[in-house]
Amino acid sequence: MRFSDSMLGAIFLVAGIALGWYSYELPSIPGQNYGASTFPFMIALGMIACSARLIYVGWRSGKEPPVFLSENLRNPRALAAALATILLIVFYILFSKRLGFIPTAFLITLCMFLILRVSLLKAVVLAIFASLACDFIFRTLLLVPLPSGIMPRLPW
Amino acid sequence: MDAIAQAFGLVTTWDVIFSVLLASIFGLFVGAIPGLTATMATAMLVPLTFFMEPVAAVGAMVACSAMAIFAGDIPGALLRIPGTPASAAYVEDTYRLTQKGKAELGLGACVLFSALGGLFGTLVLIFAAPSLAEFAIKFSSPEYFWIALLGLTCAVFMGASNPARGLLSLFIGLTVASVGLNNPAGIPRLTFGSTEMLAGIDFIPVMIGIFAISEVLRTVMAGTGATEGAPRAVGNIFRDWGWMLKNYWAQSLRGNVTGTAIGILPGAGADVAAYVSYAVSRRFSKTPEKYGEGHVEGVIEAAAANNASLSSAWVPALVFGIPGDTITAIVIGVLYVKGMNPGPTLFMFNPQTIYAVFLIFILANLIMVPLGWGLIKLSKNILRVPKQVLMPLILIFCIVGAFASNNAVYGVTIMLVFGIVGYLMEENGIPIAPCVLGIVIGPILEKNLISTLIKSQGNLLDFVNRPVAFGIFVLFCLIWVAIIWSWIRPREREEAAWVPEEPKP
Repeated sequence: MRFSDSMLGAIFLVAGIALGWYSYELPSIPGQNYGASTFPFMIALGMIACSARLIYVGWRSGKEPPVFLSENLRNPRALAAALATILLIVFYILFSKRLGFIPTAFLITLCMFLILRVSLLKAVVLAIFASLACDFIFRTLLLVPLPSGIMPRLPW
Repeated sequence: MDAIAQAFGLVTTWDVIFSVLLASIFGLFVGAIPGLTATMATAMLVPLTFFMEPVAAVGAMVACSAMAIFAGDIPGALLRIPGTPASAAYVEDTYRLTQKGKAELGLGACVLFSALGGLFGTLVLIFAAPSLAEFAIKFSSPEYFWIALLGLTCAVFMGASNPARGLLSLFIGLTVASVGLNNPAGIPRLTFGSTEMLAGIDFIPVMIGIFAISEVLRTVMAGTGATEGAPRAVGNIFRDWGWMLKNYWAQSLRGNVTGTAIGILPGAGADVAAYVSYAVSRRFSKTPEKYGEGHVEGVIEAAAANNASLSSAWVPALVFGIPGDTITAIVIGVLYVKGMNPGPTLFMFNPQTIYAVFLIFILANLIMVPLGWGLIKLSKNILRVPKQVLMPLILIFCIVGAFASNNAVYGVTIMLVFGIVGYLMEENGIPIAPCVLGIVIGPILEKNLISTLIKSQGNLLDFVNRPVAFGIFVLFCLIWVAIIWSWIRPREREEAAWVPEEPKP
């Protein structure tokens, strides 16, 4: 998804104004003129200046569609694959604690393999291997407290 | 002389050599995994060092961090995902070299010049530590402010094809850096009521997201048709050494010096060193247009710089107890636990332990060559695995890495958000590097800006009325004049010629 110069400028202009507004309202250190607001306010000013330039460049170069969908995004399959990848990460965020790491990791890798058109048998084998290997390296060797969820505790 | 002999005795024991070797392999392993940083490797080693003798403990930290910084170059070259932030500056070059079938050139440069840089930094650490640290310790907030600003300017410089986009990327990074409680007034800022965001936005998940998840997204969208011309194997990495040493000795030396100088400055670590020296190298190169297209010159200079800075970051850490970067910050904690309290007295009362640490530095940088060669030989298998198989594995590894950064799904959320941000930035021709550097340097810049403003009660002259601060300020102005000049003069031509980059297939 590609934005035209003026569109990109407009997005950052809004962001810059919002940041400036927000930081303007932050209190300063008692008895000082400076504080938490000084730095973000300067960032906001810079952002507004840069976006103004982008808008100017876009305006001068003339008509360009505000949003340009690249080849990939117009292909429904590619778009669906990207959305599915994002949803799989969201799935981990929401359900890993309840389901446990190994089942979640198995489902995520399995779906990803299938999205990328790996054959089903290979995908299942690889997904089982990947989830167990990750669990062994991180939970057993590196002592990361991965959630166990519905899984019984593994002997290692 | 007696102390040096004693130091030899301390180092040449089996448990020291064994722990240095094991820590090296651990560092190589962690550094080569995208998203796991050298800092993370060092931090994970800390609980183990509690069971070691002082010299073995500190030696393990030294070896582990040096190996991890070098190993970060390998996934950068093979997969375009830097293993550690310090490798991010030149990842484009090494990856393009791999695509051209010249992986051994890029990786050979990384091994050789990392080791040489590390040795140079160590020499400076050994011979010049006290006097150099004395110089750096005189710096106050205005000097740090200008140095931070100089680093950020260099970062924008690197995305020089379009300064407005580079600056916007930088502002995104600075905004991310200002999230949380860690600001001069200690007020929750940009947290939107979230408790987790009070601690700020963790750097590790951001890195994983911006570099790895965006890559996964691109691959998924391109479908399975995108089998790139990956070479079958990494060739003989030693083949081009003679040629590189002959042609690029000056770049290597300059990288060593830049890296050492930046490493000595408290707060600026290997990643800043790599970015700055890459920009310096590009600026002085006869062929700046080749940078980012698979040119080894910048790789040599930046790979030398990041390892040099790693060694020299120990100068302020050992002499004054001020960490040069995040790794030495962890090391200082271990030094206290081991009764080797950093400070000038360490050199007076306990010189043999310091010399022993120096010897381990030299040892670590020497064994980097054989161990690095072994790792490269093993990692070539990564290239044989098709991307359809690799990407799901990378995705799950990234999720766990982001989770492990603070043991909460908050890290995974950050990773996802920045994965999408990174994807959109790349699509729109906004360079990533200034954003990443903005996140690292932002807090340093803000702290020193506000301290100077408060100390001077708003008198802006105080920013330049110290000699060193004035010197850096002049340098900073010169760079900006050059940027603005190149911005204004060929504007008509450049804008007509500027076409947004085609998205990758």
